Amino acid sequence: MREEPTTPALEGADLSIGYGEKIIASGLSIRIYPGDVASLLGPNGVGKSTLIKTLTGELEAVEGIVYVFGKDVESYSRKELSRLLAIVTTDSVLAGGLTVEELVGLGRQPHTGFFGRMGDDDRKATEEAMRRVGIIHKREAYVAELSDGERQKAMIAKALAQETAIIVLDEPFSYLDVAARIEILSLLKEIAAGGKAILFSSHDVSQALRMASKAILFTPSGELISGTPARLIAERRLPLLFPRRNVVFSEEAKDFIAAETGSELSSVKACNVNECPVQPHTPDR
Amino acid sequence: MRFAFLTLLSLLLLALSLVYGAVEIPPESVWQTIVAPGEADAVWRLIVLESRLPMALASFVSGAALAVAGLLLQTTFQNPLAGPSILGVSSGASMGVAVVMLFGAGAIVSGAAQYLSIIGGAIAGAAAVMLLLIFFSSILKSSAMLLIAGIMIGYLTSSVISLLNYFAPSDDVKSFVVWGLGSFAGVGVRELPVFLGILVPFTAASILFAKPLNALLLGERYASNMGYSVPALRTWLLGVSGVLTAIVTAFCGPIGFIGLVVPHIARMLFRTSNHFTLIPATMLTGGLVTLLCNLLTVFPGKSGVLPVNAITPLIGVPVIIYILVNRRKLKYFN
Repeated sequence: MREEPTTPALEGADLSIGYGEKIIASGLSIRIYPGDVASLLGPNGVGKSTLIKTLTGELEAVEGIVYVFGKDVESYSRKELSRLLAIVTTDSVLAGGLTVEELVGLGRQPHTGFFGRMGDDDRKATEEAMRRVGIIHKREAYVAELSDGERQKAMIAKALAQETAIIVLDEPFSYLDVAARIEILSLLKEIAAGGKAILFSSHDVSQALRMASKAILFTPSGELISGTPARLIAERRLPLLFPRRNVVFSEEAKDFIAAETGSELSSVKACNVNECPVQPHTPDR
Repeated sequence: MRFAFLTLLSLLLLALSLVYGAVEIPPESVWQTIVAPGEADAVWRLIVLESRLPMALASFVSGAALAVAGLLLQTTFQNPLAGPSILGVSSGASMGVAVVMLFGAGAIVSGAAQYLSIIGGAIAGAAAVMLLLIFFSSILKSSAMLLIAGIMIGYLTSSVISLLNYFAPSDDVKSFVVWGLGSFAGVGVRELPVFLGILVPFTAASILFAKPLNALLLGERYASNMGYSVPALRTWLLGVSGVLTAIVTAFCGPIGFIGLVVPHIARMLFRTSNHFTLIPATMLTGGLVTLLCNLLTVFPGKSGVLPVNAITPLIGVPVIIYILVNRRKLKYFN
């Protein structure tokens, strides 16, 4: 598919993640390369958000090291890191009284001086980010006036304006309908094609498998399994995400469905973890 | 444009504050005492220049300081209903003042030493509440819960104050109760240099935080992703708003509502949450509103002066109710 660059943009090596004494999962390794649109999939409570926060340097790894372009994330200053890695979350924000342009312009903060004065470069980067995301027609609008999808686009534009090589999105689709999800995923693919490394966590298995270039499964047993969606499906890894009798993975629908509906779709191979033999997995890089 | 309008309005209110008071002085005589103090009536000169002018200046600067303190708290805690009085910072400062006034003051001679110890007590009390708030904000993620914790801290300090009152000599209690009603008259010509000397630089310094405050509008995760150390930033912001609240409280008593309400009036007037506009707007609006409150305290005319805390809720409560009712329509809220 694509040539493999030698250094991952973002790498977690043998991580134990958790808060202080409480370890949620250990032995986790993950690599995101420039050009990747990687989706982190897993059931609730498995530690997706904790892993994301550990990879972005928001949370210290209990054990193991996070590398950003081959260097320990701890060795970067906050300022340096803010120019390499941008996050997008769905945290509620009090930014309703900013215009879209002001919000996207906040992405320039790591690049501007003490008073945040925007130079020509900063204005150009802000405008370019709004244009790429397709929100430029709303530049004068207040953030409060945006739909959920538009607001998420504006936050992604803010991340683009930050001009980082890595963008990490924590559950970016939480409040979005399917159309908005697809639109944003296409946008992320386009952005990655320009050489950025993108990692997002999601509950939307089917869209992630269709559109991401790489899927990382975080199983309830605390393992990370990564590969291209096609390979993970062929190797029947997906059922490991929800090891339950009444939830099966349909390869045709590329989604989890209730076990009893599986038989209604004649040609569908739908199975759960107990029924389908797992194929041998070739570890991903 | 809006800044010019508010400045003009403030000057007008300042002029009115010099003209109206418990003693009737004709406006032309007030004018004369200002332009040619030498030729004016000595008593009137004393009233206008050494009582009304310091009081008006003190109310303007107190208002600006409290309003900015409220704005910093609202953004720091991501909570539009935060304010120095509602989070218990003012009552913490009051508690510090109560300790000094009811039990320390007897031992300390009057004069500079006394009011410096009152300032010290107010700062210590405000700092104690701020530390509690930082502690609670690290465990209570919901902003409503933090507000409730702040209100509880307020009750606790009030109860400590009541206990202190109960055991204190009655003369001290009376002066403490009068102080607690809130008044800008306590800032005379003698106190004004210290008062302005601390408040003006601290209030003005808040503009230095405009850039990180804008980042904080997006929440702590985004702010730290933009290169800030959020705990350090929060400590700075709470420190500045604590000092502002403590100083105003030490001199003028616990003034309610200004810190909570004025940032909202400023956001509505200027239609923005951008702190580069909002901080100066809040200062000016805070000064203006408090000057107006101070002017209303002399409403009874000859029969006396109303406590400031009888006036601020009359302006503050309707605004807060309006905001709560219309919060879906107000852009900056969502």
